[in-house]
Amino acid sequence: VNLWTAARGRLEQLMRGAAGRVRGQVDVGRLVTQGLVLGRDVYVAATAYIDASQPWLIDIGDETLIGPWAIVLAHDTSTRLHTGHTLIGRVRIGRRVYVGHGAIVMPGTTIGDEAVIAPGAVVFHDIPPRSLAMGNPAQVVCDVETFAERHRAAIARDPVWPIPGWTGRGITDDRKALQRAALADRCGYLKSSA
Amino acid sequence: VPARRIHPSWRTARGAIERRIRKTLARLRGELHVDHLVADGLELGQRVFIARGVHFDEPWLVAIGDDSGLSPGVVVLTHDDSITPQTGLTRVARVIIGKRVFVGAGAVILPGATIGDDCIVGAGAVVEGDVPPGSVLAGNPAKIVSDVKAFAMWHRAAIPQAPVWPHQGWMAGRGITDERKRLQRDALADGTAGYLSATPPSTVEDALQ
Repeated sequence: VNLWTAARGRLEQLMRGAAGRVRGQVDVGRLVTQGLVLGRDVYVAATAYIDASQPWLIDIGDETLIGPWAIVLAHDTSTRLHTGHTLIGRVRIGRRVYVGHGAIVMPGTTIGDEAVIAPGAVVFHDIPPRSLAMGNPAQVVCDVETFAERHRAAIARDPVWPIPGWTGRGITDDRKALQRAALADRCGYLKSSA
Repeated sequence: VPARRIHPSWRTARGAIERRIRKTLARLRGELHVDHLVADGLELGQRVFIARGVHFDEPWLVAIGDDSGLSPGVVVLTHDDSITPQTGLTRVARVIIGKRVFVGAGAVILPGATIGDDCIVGAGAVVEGDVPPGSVLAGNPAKIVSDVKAFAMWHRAAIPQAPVWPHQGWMAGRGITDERKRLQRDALADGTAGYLSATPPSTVEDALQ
């Protein structure tokens, strides 16, 4: 039974890899063999783009999340026509960083531990640890403590559901209606299992 | 290891097969191969680089000049449905991109934009209206942050102090060794930028590989 489970797991992994290649997505496993430095428990969304031409210049810390359609670049070709050179630089994304949907991280930047990069932000300069940055060009708007405090206050007040049974995986039609009604005039939260 | 001898006709055949596969893959991804874009009326100069996943609304309304480059995830819009609910109409406008223009990753070019020769559009910039030749743009909405002469001068001043490597042997897919990766990482450790010296201009074919 274990052998069968392992074989099926491997087969599914291979199929996901093949489907990803057909879709033109970058395989993070392959980037790691090319020198991308990836911490443990890092999540890189399937549609995120990690620079495949210079992956060894990129470090991503433990428990960091790179959202869908985010772009992490280690090279910048804009200089090529005018100087005859392509700029390259290291990118360091710390531990427990959140990089939002569609954000862009430019070469030579460092994002400190536990920073939050809002969706669509374009990071041209270093972002200090534990800060919330948004906009294009990205600017620090507050620190993560303020951000978390605001949400903690809302969590105590607003509806909260566990993830199992309340997301796309396994939610019933009844619960969908309940969730829609509860969120008619406010936002709610899903509690992580970890 | 001695180099394997490959018969030239086999090499040609393999090239044709690979091209066919790339076109089919692009179709499966919902992208158009550049040949299709040109057949659809995209006005394309010489040696233009179009990365994978670049979106064109109506290719026949777009012109791109010689030696320009569009990076991954660039969106070129030629129609605007934002006023459709109010007016029942879609606004349509051409986009003209000049010669030697560089458009950074994820930038959005709005309908009616005209980008002059030698402009540099920063990653993620949202460009509207006329942009004078030689401007460097960034941000949303895109603002002129510099001109290309100052930009080039700044980098030319930085290059003699910075580590510089050739592309060949120092890039993924161009035979970089683990030892050289480590060297490059160490040389750029303190956040300084390095440079790769120019290769002959990339072709659209390279980009679609």
